[in-house]
Amino acid sequence: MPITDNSESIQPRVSVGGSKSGMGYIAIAVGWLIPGAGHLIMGQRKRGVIFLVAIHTLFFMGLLVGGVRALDRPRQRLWTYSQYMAGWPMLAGAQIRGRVYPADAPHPVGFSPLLQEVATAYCGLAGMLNLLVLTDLFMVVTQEPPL
Amino acid sequence: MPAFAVPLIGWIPLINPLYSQVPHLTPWWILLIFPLVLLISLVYKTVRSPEGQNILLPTIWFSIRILFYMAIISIALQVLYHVVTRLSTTPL
Repeated sequence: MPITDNSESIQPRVSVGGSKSGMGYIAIAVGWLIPGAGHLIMGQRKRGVIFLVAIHTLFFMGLLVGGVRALDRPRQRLWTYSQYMAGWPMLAGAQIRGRVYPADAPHPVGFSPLLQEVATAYCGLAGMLNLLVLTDLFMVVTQEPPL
Repeated sequence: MPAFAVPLIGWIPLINPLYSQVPHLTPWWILLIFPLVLLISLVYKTVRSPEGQNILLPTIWFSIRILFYMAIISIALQVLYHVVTRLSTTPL
């Protein structure tokens, strides 16, 4: 029977120093600001890239459909809170939205309430997914490596 | 005047809504469910996979399951809606 190298599968998912030095908590903060970047910092490149691409794609698809009007909607605070979990896209988008579409701005040409709602949900769900990813990152950071 | 007011004469992707540029887009809104479900499944399956390996097929299968159950729930709610409205409009 050939001897296979299983060292990859039994290694801890993070470096040992990550949970001790506070680097992991910096990764969590960066992971909020840039979805997926926390996993990249912790050395989980493949998962980090998947999170980064998926969450950014979801958020920017919402922006594509609904524009920045999908963000920070005055009477939908819960969606706004979840959108802020997406990090920098929301921080930048909310600033742009405040300048381009202030609260008293008229509806754009061909206004579609349905598509606007879908776009808002897209951006909000991107934030919720990043919260899920951050929870996973927190588990990665706090777990002790196997002996 | 805001700095962004001048470029608003044309359509700027990600800032102006797509529906303001593409008319008759609203009836196709249901198609947006597919990328949404696919991306949610991808993130979920990646979270569940410690190494991030072999997640393509589980992601697709999970997406199909979500869509199937959503369809079942929507049909059930549609039937419930018709039953309730019929009962509520039937004279005693």
